[in-house]
Amino acid sequence: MSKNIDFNDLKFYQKIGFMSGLEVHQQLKTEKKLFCHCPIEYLHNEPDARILRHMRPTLSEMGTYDGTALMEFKTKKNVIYNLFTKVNCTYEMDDTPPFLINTEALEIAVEICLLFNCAVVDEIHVARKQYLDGSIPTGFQRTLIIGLQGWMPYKDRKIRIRQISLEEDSCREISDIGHTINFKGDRLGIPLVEIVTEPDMKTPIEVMEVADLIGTILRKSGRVRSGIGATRKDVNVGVPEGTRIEIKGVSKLKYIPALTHYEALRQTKLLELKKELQIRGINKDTFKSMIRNLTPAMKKNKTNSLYFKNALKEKLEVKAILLKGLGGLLNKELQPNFTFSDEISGRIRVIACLDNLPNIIHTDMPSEKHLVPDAELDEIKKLFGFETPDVIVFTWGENADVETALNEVKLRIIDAMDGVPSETRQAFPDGHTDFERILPGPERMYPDTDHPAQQISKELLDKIKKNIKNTYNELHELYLKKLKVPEKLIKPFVLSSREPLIRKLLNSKTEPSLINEILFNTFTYLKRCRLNPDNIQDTELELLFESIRTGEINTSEVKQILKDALQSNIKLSEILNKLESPVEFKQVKPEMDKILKESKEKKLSLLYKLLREKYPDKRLPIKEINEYLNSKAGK
Amino acid sequence: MNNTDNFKGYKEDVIKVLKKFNARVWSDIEIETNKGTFTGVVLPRSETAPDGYLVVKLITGYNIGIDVNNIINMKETGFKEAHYKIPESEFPVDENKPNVTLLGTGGTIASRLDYRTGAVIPAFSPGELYGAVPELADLANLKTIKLFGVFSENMGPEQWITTAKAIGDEVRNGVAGIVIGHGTDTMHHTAGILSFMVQNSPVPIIMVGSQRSSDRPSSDAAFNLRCAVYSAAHGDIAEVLVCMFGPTSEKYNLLHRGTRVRKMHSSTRNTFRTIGDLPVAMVDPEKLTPIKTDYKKRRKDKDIKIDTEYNDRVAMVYYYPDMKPDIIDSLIDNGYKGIIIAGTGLGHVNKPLYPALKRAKEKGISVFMTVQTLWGFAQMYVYDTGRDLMELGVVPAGNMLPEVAYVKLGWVLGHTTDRDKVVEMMLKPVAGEITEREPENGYLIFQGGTPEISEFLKKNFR
Ligand SMILES: [Zn+2]
Repeated sequence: MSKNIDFNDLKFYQKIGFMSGLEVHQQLKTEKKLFCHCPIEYLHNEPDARILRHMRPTLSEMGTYDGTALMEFKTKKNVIYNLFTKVNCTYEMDDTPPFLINTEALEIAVEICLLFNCAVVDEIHVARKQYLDGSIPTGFQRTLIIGLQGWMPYKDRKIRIRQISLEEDSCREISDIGHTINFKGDRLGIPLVEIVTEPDMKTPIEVMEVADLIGTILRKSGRVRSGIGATRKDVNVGVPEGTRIEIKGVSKLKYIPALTHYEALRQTKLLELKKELQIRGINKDTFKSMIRNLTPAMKKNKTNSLYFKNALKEKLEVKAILLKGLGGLLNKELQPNFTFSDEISGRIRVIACLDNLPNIIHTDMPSEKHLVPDAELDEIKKLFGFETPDVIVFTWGENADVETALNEVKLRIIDAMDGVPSETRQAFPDGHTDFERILPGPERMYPDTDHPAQQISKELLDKIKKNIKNTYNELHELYLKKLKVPEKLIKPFVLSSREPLIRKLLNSKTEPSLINEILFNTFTYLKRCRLNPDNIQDTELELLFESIRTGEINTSEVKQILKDALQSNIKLSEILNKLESPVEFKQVKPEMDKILKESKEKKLSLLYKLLREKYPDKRLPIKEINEYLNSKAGK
Repeated sequence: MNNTDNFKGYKEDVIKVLKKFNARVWSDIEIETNKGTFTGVVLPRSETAPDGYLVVKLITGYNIGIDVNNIINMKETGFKEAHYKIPESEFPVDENKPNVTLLGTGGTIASRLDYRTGAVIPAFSPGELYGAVPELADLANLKTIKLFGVFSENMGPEQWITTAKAIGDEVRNGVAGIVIGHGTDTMHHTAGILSFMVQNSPVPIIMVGSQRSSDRPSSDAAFNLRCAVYSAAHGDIAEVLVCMFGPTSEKYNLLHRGTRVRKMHSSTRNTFRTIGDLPVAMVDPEKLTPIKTDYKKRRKDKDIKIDTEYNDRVAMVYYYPDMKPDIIDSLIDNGYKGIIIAGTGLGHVNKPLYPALKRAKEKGISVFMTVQTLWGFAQMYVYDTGRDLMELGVVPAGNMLPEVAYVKLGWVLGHTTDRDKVVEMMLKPVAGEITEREPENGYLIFQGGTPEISEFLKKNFR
């Protein structure tokens, strides 16, 4: 759905007031977990044990429960944790208090803060960040600020880093069906850093590029985990008068442009909806709705609507809510193929646990979608005293869930009067997003009484500083400014495990393109031939480049030489050394002419291949051959 | 507000800096440091934390400590003192519901957070509790009495006696049941002594606490409280019982007899276990299912007997190899009237203690033997050592738990110091503290890692 959109159209995004920041979660490469001494491993076998828990909202500032939190609590979830003897202890079960913080993780986190030019805090305080979704058995995540107010270079400006915190990872979700959510305990407790940028990115493409850059800097540090789920990105998007929306779980960088674009779009559409409600004179005081239980009447009169019939068959309740004066608005498209009604449905799915779709239908839907026969619909409308432009929304399920759902419809309409409700949204690859949960504010943070404050000494800071070498940003600068490497080659070069060799080659004036050709393109080719060029030592490769530089071999021969070396298991240096006494050009010339005549393909590599077959251990007069070929080509 | 309140928990170095910039605890503050400028609220500091760091809650909700040596300037932009109080909403009264009295001894059963400062504020009055656990109103009408506010390790005879008397008063007032909020560490000591001081209760007396504080979503407090209030209001078991999680999963609570229960893990939710017998019942907020049948049933009368005589010259000695007799001697010399020994195996101590034990007997000190294995009986006629010890006046206390024997001996000595009478009272069970038999499933400590238990754990909630 994102074709033909220029995600880098600065003018357009400035016009709509596009604002976006990133939260990058990166697991750290430590031996043990953050607050206990369990080893780190993802497991795929059957869990060894299970526990059942419930999460309960804590009291708010005013000594009451937040309405939404309480609603979520009423349609309560059975939270099941699947645990593994190997990687879970009673700490992860929330049955043992935390142990002192893993110093290895702390030092890596400090190092990462320095990489992003953050002020490292003088004394760290562990905080608890509440999560009611069950993803952490305690009901909160232990998290601590390590760095503040940093920055990273991007293009010709700085992207500001708001903060970097060290946190324990949450559980992996296995399933979420109805009132039961299942989690897996292996990932729980793995140390990770959360890097939060300011909303400094101006277009969706910039968001993607900065996300990529953050990942690159982290990878170059060598202190982070790689693999599926080791790096997770949340993207925050807002427009003026909209709100900061957190898009969770963006699994691939390439999804970012569409996701951020359509989120900004959704917010502008919701602002249009707000205006429309104002025009219709609907506000919190005037808004009227009416809920009716349709179950008894439907049982009596035998409904002919498919959804209702099935619901009654399963002994579920069918209820409906009339929304006074809201006719037409539920069909408003917020994202391509995603209407306001879909948005409400998403919220009901999560909060009321009604996850069989469709979970709502309404009178503004075309009849082929709601499947309620006209006569029946008229009856219901009459019952409600329906007048245009009203709309009736139906839902069905267990009584408590239906009550929650209809109340949620009402709440969502009230939210629409304010524009864009704060929430976290789940990312889908096609660029659309769906409700995940209400966005919790800073009030969900409180101190962890299980930990003493911990000072970060100047000595520790200095020690870590001293050990930081060859950061991505430093090398990027060096490669770009001093070694004159084209921008697109810098990242692969700097991230390569052969970076020291590459730097050496560049310092001895080897062309970046040649390095790319051999160490990347040719190596990829060799790997496809099931050979392992990674086993060749840097010193051997240095000799290879030297031979090219002195003209002992031709670039177009390299592929074959490497292949021979790897296949025969003979050291590259031996092959190169064998090429001793040079063949004279006049000896080669007739051969060349013959080959050139015979072969219609005047491919250089073929020519060298044939010459090499003829003179397997001689050095070829490469300079003369090339001059001769050039002169022929010139004619 | 006085001066110390302005600098709550801070010491010299920080106070100097705060004074210099006219800032104080609860200031909304802008702090310029050589690492950057931060805004937030100045929080009090823990008394035990080192000097030199100022704790600031940032607007993101995170707290950080700032080395005062790094501070260049501070500007107070506002001030709002935190008042740690929970607004109350009235606990609904329903004439058709039973009346339950909650006695508070300390520790927090329910609480709420102060979001500005992150502090945890305990909730206790019915109105506060209703705010925290509204489901309680579905179970009973609640009255609360705060007896004292002490940590559970500071509970002692004085508090036990006050609690027992309060129970007597409330029962005579006609309540349907008593709930006692208590810290978990010494809950089994208190449960034990209340089983002796409170006799013939016509209503349930339920002790409850929490292993995970109630300021967290995963807390066991609300569920424990609901189960306890249900047991007190609707249960049929008129005994002193401890009501805590059965499994670590939030599935049901167990009601443990006050004289047979013990805290067995320093932190798990299901830490309380009945030792050497079966729990009396399972309970959840909707129903109570008896496991045992020999419990005392609820009655309509108010004929409760409160007997709080207590002599605190009692000690408990946990035997270890190579124990020297001077341990016992010092108790004798310090005027102790009763000693409970937690002996090895069936109830043994080493020979070097014999002269000291003999001396104790001569001084009229009552010495009883319990087992440090917790499960099983002191059976001192099996080996010579046991027979020797009995000769020296050490009396085996059956399968009475050491802590229960300790509080019972204090209670018995409050009534008589006549050694024969003491022995007679100690060995005559009052509330199930000694049982005639340990049922076959009375001892179950399964061992993890064995195939059958691994299989069991895969199939059942822990
Ligand atoms: Zn662990």
